[in-house]
Amino acid sequence: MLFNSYEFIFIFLPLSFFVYFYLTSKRLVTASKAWLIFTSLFFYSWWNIAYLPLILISILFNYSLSKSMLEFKEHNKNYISKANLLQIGLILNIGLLIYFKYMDFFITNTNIVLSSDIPLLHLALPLAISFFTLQQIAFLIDSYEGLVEEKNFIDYTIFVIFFPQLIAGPIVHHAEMMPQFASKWNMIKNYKNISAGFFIFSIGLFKKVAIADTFATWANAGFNNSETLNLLEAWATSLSYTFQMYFDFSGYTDMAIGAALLFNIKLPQNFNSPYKATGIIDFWQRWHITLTVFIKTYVYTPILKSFAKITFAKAMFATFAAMFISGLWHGAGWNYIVWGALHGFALITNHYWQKYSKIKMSKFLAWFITFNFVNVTLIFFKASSLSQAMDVLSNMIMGNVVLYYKLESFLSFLTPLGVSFETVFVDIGAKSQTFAYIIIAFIIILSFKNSNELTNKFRPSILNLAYTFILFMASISMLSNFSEFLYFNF
Amino acid sequence: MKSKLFTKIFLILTIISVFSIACFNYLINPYGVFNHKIASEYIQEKDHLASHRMTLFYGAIYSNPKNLLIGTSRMGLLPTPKKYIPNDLSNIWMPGANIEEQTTLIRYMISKFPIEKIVWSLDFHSFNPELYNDPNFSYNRLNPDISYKDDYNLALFGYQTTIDSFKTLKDNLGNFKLQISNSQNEQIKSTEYGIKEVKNKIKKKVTQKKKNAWDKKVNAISKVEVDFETAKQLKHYPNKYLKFKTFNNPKSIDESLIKVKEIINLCKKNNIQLYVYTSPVHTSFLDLYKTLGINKTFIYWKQELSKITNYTDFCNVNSITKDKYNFLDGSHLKPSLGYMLYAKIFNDSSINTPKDFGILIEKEQ
Repeated sequence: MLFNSYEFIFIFLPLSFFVYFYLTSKRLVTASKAWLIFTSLFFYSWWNIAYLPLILISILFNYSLSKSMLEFKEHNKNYISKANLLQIGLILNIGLLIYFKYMDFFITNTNIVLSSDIPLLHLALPLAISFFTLQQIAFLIDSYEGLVEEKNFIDYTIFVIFFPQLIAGPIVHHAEMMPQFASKWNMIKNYKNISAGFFIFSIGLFKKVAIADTFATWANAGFNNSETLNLLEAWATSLSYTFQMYFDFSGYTDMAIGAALLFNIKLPQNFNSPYKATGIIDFWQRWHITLTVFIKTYVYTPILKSFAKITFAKAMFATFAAMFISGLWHGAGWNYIVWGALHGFALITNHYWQKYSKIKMSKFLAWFITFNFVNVTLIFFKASSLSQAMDVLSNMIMGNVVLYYKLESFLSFLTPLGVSFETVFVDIGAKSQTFAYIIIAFIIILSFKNSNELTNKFRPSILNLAYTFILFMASISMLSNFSEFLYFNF
Repeated sequence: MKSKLFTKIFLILTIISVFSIACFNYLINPYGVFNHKIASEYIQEKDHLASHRMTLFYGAIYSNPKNLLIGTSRMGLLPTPKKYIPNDLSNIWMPGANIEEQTTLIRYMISKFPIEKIVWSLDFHSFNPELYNDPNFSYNRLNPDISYKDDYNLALFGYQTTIDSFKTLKDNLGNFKLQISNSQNEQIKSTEYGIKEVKNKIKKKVTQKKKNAWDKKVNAISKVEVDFETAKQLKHYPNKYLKFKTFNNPKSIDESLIKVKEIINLCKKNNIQLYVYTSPVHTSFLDLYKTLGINKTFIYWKQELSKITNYTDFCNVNSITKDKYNFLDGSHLKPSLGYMLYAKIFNDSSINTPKDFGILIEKEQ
C-alpha cells in the first residue's frame, strides 16, 4: 500500500489508529501491539502476499539467533561459538539479499565474461528486503557485542515491520525504537504528536504528489529520449531527476515520520537540506542520514578496525569500500556501482582537500561544485544503462543549443554560433514552464527551512492549521495517478 | 490554540471538504466515468476530457456495444460507417496506440460484450517495439478482476476533475435557466418553446458551433501547401513513432504480429466478423520509411499480415495517397474521404472509388 493512496489515507491509517488507541485505552497492551503487527503485515502484503512468509521467516530466524547470542554462556560446553552464530546470521541474511537482488546481475556478467548461457532466474525482488535485512543485521551484530537488552519478541517484530518505516526507511536502530514500543507512556493518545504528525505528513504528501511527480514526468521522458536531447533539455532532464529524487524520498520520509508520530513513535531524521551541502562529506551528513550512520557503523568502522594500524590512506580505502558497497546496496547494476564509486572518490578528494589544501574555497563555489557533482552522478543512478547515462551527459556538454523561439528577436546574433530558436523542451514532454519549476525548486531547497526544522518549531496555530489543510487538500486532489516512491526499488 | 482543537478542526474540515468534492464530481460526472443518470436532464454537454482513452472507454462500455471500430487517431477521424453497421457501434480509437494497447482492449471488449463485428485499422508504426504504452493507458482499467478503482478515484477527487466539473456546470447553465424559466412561465412551455425543443435547439447550436470550428481548422490545413519535410514531421514522427534502433530489423515486429494473430483466432472462436485494413498514409511517409531504413520492416509487415488474415491495403502508392490535399497531415486521411474507405472495406459497389485505393489482400493458404 502506498502512503500516497486514497486507501491508505482514508481507510488504512484511520482504522489502524482508532483500533490501536481503543485497545490501549482498555489497557489491552499486548492486543494493541498485536494489532500493530497485523496492520503492518497487511500493509506489506497489499502488494504481493507471496512475500509475506519471507519476512516472517526472516524475523523469526534473526530473533532466535539474537536470543541465542544474548543467552550464550561461554563456559558451557558448546558445539558452536557465539562468533559462529553471528557468522551464520550474517551469511544467511546477506545470502538472502544476494539471492533475490543480485543473482541475475551476477549471472548476466558471468555469461558476458565466460560467454556462457546460464539462464536468468527472473526473481521478483521482495519489497523492502534491503531495508529489513540491514536493520536485522545491525540487531544481530549488536546482540553479539552485548549491546541489545530487549528480548521481547512482539517488540522486536514491531521494530522490524512497523508500517511507517517498513518499505523505505528511515533505517531505524533497535536502540532508539524498541524502548519506544515498550514505553507505556506512548500508549496514550497524544494530541501534540497527532497534530504535528498531520503537519509533517501533509508536507511530505505535497512534496511527493505536487513536486516530485511533476519532475518525474520530465525526467522519465528525458531519459527515454536520451539520444536526441539538446543541451537545455539534457540539463532540464538531469535537474528534474535530481529534484524528483530529493522531493520523492524526503517526502516519503516526512510521511513516514508523520504517520509514526500519530502512534507516538519518533522516527529518526533522514534528511537535513542535503542540497545546501558545501562538500561531499557535508552532503552525506545531510542525505539519507540513517543509511550513512549504518554504513559508517557496520561497514566503514569494521573495515577500519580490521587494520592493525590505522593510517589516513587506510581510512580512505575504507571510505571508498563503504561507498562502493553503498552503491551496490542501492541496486544490482553497474550504474549503481559507478555512482557509489564516484561518491567514494569524491569523499576521498574532499578529505584530502580538508587535510592538505591551504586554499579557502568560497562557500558559493563549494556549493556549486557539490550540487553539480550530485546532479551529474545521479544520472548514473537513474539511467537504465551506462550508455544511456553517457548520452545524457554528452548532451549536457555538447548538445545543440536550442532557445525559446520568442527570444529570437533579442538573441538573433547568436545564430551564427549554432544557436537555433524553436519550441523548447519538446523531448522531455514539457513546455517553457519547466524552467520556472526548476527555479522554484532551487528556491525551495536553498532558502526554505526543511520539514524537520519546521516540525521542531511546530505550534498548533491558525496559520499552521491553514497551511496543513491547504497542503493536504491540494495533495489529495493530485493523488489519483498511481506513483510509487523511487526508493521502493532498492 | 490547543493541539486537540487543531486536530479536531483539521479532521472536520478535511472530511467535509473531501466529501463535498466527491459528491459534486459524482453528480456532475464530467468524464462519464459513473454510469448514473442523476441530473442528466441538466448536464448534457460534457466537453472536457481527463484522458481520451478513459472517457471513450467508459462511453463504450456503458453503451453495451455489439460492434467495434478499433484503431489510432486515423480511425478516430473517420466518420461512423452507419450505412454498413447501423446499430450498437462504438468507436474506441486511441491516439498513438501500439498493438499491445489495441489487442488488450479488443480482448477485454470480447470478454465483456457479445461482440459481432470489429473493424480494425492497423498502422505500421503501431508495430514498433519502441512505441510504448501511452501513460493514460491502464491495464487496471482493462482487468475485470481489479475494477475501475483508479479511474473512480480520479473522477471523484482529482483537482482537474473538480475544475472540469465546474466548467461542465457552466457549459450547461443554459439548461438550468431554461428549467427555471419554464417553471415560472407556463405559457412558454405550452406554446412554441417546449423544454425539449429548446434544449434541442441549444444542442444544435453548440454542435453547429463545434462543426464550424472543425471545418475551419480542416479548411485552413487544406489551403496551406502542406510541407511534409517540415521540422515537425521529421522530428516528431521519427522520434515518437518511428524510432528505428530496433525497428529497422523486420523481426522486431514479430511479437506484435503474434498478438494480432491471437486476436484473429479469438474472433474466429467467438464467431466475430473481423474487418482488417491498413490505414492510408501520404506517399511522402512511404519515402520517409526508406530514408529511415525501416522499409524492409514495412515490406515484411505486409507480407506477414497476409499470412495471418485477409486485409484491405490502403497503405501503398495509389491515386488517393499520392495527393497531399487528401490528407490533414502526412498520415491522417481527411474525414470527408472516409466514405470511400468504408465502401472498399464493405465492398459497396454503389459508391465510386478509385480502383487502386484499397486492395483486398487475401490470406496466403
